[in-house]
Amino acid sequence: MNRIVAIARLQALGRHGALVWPITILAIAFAVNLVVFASISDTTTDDPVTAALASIYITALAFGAMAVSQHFPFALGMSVTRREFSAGLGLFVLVQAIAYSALLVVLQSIEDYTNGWGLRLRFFGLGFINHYAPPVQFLMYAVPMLLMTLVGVAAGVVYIRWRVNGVLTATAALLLLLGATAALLGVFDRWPAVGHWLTHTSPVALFAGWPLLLVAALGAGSWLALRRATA
Amino acid sequence: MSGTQRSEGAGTGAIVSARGVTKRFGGVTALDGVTFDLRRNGIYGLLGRNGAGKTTLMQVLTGQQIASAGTVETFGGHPYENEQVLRQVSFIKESQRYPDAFRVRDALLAARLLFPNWDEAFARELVHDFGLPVKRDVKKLSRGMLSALGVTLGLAARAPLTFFDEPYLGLDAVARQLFYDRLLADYAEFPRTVVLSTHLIDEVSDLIEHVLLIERGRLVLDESADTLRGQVVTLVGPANAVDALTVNVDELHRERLGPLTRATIRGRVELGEARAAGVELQPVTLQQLVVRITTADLKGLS
Repeated sequence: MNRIVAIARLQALGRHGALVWPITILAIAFAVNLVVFASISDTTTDDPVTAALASIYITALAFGAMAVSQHFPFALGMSVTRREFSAGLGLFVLVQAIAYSALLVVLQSIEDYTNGWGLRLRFFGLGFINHYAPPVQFLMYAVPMLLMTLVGVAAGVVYIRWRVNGVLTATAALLLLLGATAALLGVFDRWPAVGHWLTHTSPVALFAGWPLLLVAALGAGSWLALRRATA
Repeated sequence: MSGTQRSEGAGTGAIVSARGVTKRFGGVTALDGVTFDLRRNGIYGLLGRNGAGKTTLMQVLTGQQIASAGTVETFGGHPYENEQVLRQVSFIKESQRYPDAFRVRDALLAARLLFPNWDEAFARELVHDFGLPVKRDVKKLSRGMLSALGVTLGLAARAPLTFFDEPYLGLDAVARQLFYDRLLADYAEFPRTVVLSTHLIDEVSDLIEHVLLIERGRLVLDESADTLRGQVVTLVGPANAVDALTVNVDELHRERLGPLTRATIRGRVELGEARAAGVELQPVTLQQLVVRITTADLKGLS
């Protein structure tokens, strides 16, 4: 177990910048939002909502890709097995998602308490997460973060296993699949049904339920591919 | 050379045994039926030209590559995904990649966390001796400094089975000598099995106790360095006298210098007999020997 913790710890090495930047960007975005909404709050009637939170989720995606493409060849060279590497990475990803989500829950509570920083601003609550109890909020922050990270991890694994051609093939296949699905939905006139499903499924299921299935699928697929990968 | 006989071995047990190891990448056969043992404690020279299959062989032995055919046992188990085995192995590839964000000190910390026998004081000494800039990004290191980092990690890890893959690339003569000196001194104090993959044979010929020569994926030589030096000799003398002495031996190379013939042979020639025939016996350096055996072997193939 100590070894897995040590391997997880390696993911943090040299990442001080990568850990500090998303928080910094979020802080800047938050400050800008405060200023902007303070100046227009008299003129808006809706509760203002912003999507600046996305910055830390996009960083999670980039982290996942780098964590595999750069650390896997290094770990293998340091006599670490693929299993140990995957366990260490899994541990780090989990701890990271928990830490970010706990921070977001705390900030969202402050936002709630101060009635949107005195401006009815829903920077962290996003206008719907704030309707749930903190444990549910936590899941709604954490699962999408895990999903973004795992998408990055999967891309990194494809690169390690099949190199650039693999990444291009996977991207093309994904686009083809999405395009074909969209076309079929159009042909059979099923878009209204999709819209109906989206509006009638609770945000909890949309943000914490279904994505968890994708997380599991991406995790399992990544492991299967990494198991036979070489540096 | 798969039939090489071993009389030693008792008490020194094999820690690696490879049997018929073959590795194919698409249509290319990088390793072709390689069979040999590595014993506990000893310095092996894994020699061969660029692209002969040295790195692939080491990758298979350390579970970084998976053999297409054949079996590998390292410390009694298969190395692939075997923590018990890999914890006793260090193999810093010549082309080892480090995360972009790593500084030299991060790589050293990683090695300290991962290698159970890591000697931090020894690592610091090596860093100092090689003049490694610990705060510099690894990706900004020169080729020589990158090699020095690999050598530092490999030496201070003190793994019972340590591979060095062309460790001297980009290192100047002083740094190379420093590596050889440190390796020998540390080996004397903490014996282990060291495999030195190299094509700079002359430089390591005093260091290595056993020669593994690989050529086009095939193991063509598996012999102790001393035996090898005794086995191969160059005869210089009149052509007919040399001919008479070399009828029953394996001739590796022959050249004519005016009236004299120089023949490099593998086999025994009696010193007295040679002298009587006016033939001089000359020792062969390990490098010459490897070149002769490799070229003779290539001729045999074609």
